[in-house]
Amino acid sequence: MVTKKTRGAVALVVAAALSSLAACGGDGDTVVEENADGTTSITVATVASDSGSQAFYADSLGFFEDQGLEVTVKVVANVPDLAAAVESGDAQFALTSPTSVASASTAGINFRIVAGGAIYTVDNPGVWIMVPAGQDGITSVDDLEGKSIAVNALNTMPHLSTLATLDDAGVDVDSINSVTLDFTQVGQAFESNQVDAATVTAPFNYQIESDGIGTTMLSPYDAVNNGEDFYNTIWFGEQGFIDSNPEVVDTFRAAIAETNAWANDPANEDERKAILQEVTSLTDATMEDMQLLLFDDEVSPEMIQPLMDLMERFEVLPQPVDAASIIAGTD
Amino acid sequence: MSLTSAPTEEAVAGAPAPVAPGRAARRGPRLGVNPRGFAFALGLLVVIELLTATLVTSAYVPRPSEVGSALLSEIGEGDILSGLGDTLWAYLQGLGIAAGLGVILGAALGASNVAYQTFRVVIEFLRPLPSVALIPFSILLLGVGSTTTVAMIAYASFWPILFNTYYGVRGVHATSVETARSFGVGGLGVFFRVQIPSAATSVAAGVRISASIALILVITVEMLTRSGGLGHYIVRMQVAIRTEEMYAGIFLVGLIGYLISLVVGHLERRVVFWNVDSREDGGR
Repeated sequence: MVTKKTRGAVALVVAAALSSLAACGGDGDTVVEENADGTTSITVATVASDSGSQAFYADSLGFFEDQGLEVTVKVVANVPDLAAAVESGDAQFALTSPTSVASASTAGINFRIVAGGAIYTVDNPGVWIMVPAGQDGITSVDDLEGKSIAVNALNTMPHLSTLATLDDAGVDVDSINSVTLDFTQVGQAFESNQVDAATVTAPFNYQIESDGIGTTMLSPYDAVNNGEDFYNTIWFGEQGFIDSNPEVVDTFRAAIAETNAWANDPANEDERKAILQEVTSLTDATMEDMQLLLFDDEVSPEMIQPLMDLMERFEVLPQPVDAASIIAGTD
Repeated sequence: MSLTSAPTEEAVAGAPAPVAPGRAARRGPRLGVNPRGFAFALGLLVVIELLTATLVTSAYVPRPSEVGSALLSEIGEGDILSGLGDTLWAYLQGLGIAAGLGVILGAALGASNVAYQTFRVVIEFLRPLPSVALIPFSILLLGVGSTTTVAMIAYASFWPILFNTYYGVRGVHATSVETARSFGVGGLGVFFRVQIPSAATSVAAGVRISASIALILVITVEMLTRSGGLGHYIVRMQVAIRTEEMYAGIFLVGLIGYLISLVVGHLERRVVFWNVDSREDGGR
C-alpha cells in the first residue's frame, strides 16, 4: 500500500528531476552581475591548440583583467562539448568554427558570433592535404580520383574544403572514399598505407614531414574563398546572454582585440610560443618549426559567408544561411 | 549407518590443520606477491623491447625502455602525478557514490517485489546506456569538469553493485528468513540481520566488478572531455606527439588497475572473510 509519505517523496523526486531538466539551457538570458571590486566574472571554453589559444594569452598577460573581466578558461575536447558548455550556461563564450554556429542556427539554436579567432591567409592556411611518402602515383589533385582520403570529421571545413579542391580540379567527388581519422592518427595511417591522402593541421604536418612519412601537397583552404582571407575559428555566445549583457560582450571583444594585436606581432613570437607550449605540452623541436596562426577582430559577413556557401554547395545545411544573421549585432 | 567416515590418521597427518571459517582470511590477508606472474610480465617486456628494436620500427611505437625513461622523467617533473591525483580522487568519489546508492537501492529492490516491478522498466532501459554516450547530456546538466567525470563513473559503476545487491538479498534462503521470524525478529530486523549480511558476498562481488569499470570510465571520460587527470594527460601527450610520455601514462593506468585489484581483493578477504575460502585462488 502506498502511503501519503511515499507519494510525497515521489512527488518531490519528480519535481526535483523536472527542475533539473528545466535548468538545462534555460539561463541564457542571465544578467552577469558585477563583483564587489568592479570586475565581472565569466567563463570561456576553448580547445588547447594554436587556433584556440587567444584565451590563454589574454589570461596569462592580463588582457582580460585590463577590461575588468575575471575570466575562467575551461578546456574542452571538441565542438559538441563547446556548444553544450555555452547552451547550458556553463560558459558564456566559446571558440568554434563558423560552420558550427551556422549548423546550430539551422537547428534553431540561437548562437551568435561575438569575436574573431584564427584566420586563413594564403601564406598561413593552417590545414594541408598530405600524401604518404613513396606514393609516386599521386603528384597532383587529379591523381586523388577514386582514392581514400582521411579527414578529421565529415562535413567539417577540412572535409568540405578538400571536396571543393577536388571538385574545382574536375575530380568526381563521389569517387572519393572519405575516411574519418583523427589528426593524431594520420602518421600511423600513412606508415601502414591505410589511406592515400589526409587533411592535417599543425603540428602534425611538421611531424609527418620530419619523420619522412609524408609530404605536403597543398592547402584545401585555398579553395574556400579563392585564396582570400576568411575566419577559421570564431568566438560565440548565446543570443539571450548577448542581448542581456552588451557591456560584457564589448569588454570581451576589446580583450580579444588586444590579445590579437599582441599575438600577431612577430616580436612576441617567442613569448607566445612559451605560453602555447605550457598549454599544449608540445616539444621544443615542434614549437621551433611551428608557424603560428594569425588572428583577426573584424567579424564581417564577407569573412564568414564563403564557409556558409561551401556548406550549401555540398548540401550540408538544410537551408542557406546568411552570415550576417549569425553575427551578433548585424542581424 | 553414518554417511560420513572418520579421517584416517595418515590423512590427517598429511593435510593442513583444519581451519574454522574465516580463520584463513584473518591469518593470511596479504596483498600477495606473485613471482611467477612478475617473471612472465618481465619476460614479455623483454620480448617487446627486442621486437621494437628490430622488427617493429614505427615512429609511433616506442621501446619499453623509452617509455620507462619517460615515466621516470615525468614523475620527476610532477606533471603525471598531478594528473594521477585528480584521477584517483574522481575515481574514489564516483565509486563511493555508486557503492552507496547501489547497495541501498539494490537492497530495497531485493526486499520489495513491488518496488522492483515498479522500477524495472526504467532500470532495464537505463542499464545498457553507455556512459560515454551520456557525456554531452551530462555537460549540459553538470557543466564541463570533474563533476561530469564523477557522475559518469558513478553511473557506470552503479549497475553491477545494484544488481549484485538485489540478487544477493533475493537469494537469501527462505528458511533463514522464516527461522528468524519464528524467533520473533521483525521485518526490519530480518532485513538488517539476515538478508543484508547474507547478501554481503554478492555486494562485494559487485564492488569488485565496479572497481574495474570505474577505472575504465574515469580514464575514458577524462580523455573525451579533457577535464584533467591521467586520461587528459594521455590524450594531451598524444596531441603533443610525445608518444613515449603517452605510453607512460597508459602504463601507469595499467599499474593502477593492478594495484586496485590487489587492494579490492584484500578488502574483500577482510570484510567478507567467510567467503574467502571459495575464491582463495582467484582472489589474488
